[in-house]
Amino acid sequence: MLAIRVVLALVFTILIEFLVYAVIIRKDYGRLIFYSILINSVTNPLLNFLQGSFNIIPLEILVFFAEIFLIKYLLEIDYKKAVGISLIANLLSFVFGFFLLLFIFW
Amino acid sequence: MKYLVLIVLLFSLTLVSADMITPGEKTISIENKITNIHDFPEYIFVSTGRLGDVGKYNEMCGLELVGDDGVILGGGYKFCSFSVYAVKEQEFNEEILNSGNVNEINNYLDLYATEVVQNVRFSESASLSDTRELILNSYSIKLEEPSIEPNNIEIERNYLVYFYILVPIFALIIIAVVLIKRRKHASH
Repeated sequence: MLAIRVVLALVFTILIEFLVYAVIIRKDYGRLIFYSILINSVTNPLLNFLQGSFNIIPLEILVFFAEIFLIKYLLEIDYKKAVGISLIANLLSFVFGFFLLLFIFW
Repeated sequence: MKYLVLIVLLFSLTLVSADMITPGEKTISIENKITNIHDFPEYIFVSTGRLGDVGKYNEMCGLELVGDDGVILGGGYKFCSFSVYAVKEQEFNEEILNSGNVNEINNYLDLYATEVVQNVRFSESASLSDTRELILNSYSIKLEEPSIEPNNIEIERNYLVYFYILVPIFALIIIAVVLIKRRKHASH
């Protein structure tokens, strides 16, 4: 059950963040889903791994900052845009992911 | 940008729940069970904890009766040392044990209780990367001498830890390859 939840959390995050990238970048959708898989495969498992010992809010902030750099270099955009994308993507994935998993499992 | 990162990092540090468990560590639950409790029908078993070497019971550590299933309940202040004591049924006095009077309970246990299990632990700290989730200790007790170590230890593991660690490493390697290839391609 925990394994399914962890994998689902990763899949939901990848999809939600891909939608944010797609709405803002509006091109190369195949490349965007690939980068969303890569970026979230770095941050999401680590977030789930550490949230047992650390408060989720500072962890989310760290993820937000880490993703700025990953988005900037992978999507080849400027910092300002990367900050915006990372902020929206992480806010949405946090809120939607939380409620979606809550709705499915509890 | 640098200052913003620094401020957020400092702010984040204040929110870390360091008072709960040490950051970077997790708590592994330990379940303890007496397997041969039915060999002693004339005894009642009590688990208590003490602080340091003072007495057998301290109110911060609690006192629990061991049920028919042999499961040892307990767990309190992290510095408590827990033991299980056997008390003969005809000498068992629940009123004293429930009184909450530390001296009275300690005097009673000194007189009537025989230590059968020593050094019972209900949890332990471990690194976040530790795959152990639950430890099940089984004790086969003797009245003549206390068991110090469990006779059998079963460990339930959670292999998701490998997912949490290996997936990000694998993804980072692919990201590095993508960026290096792109740089090489751009330089040509």
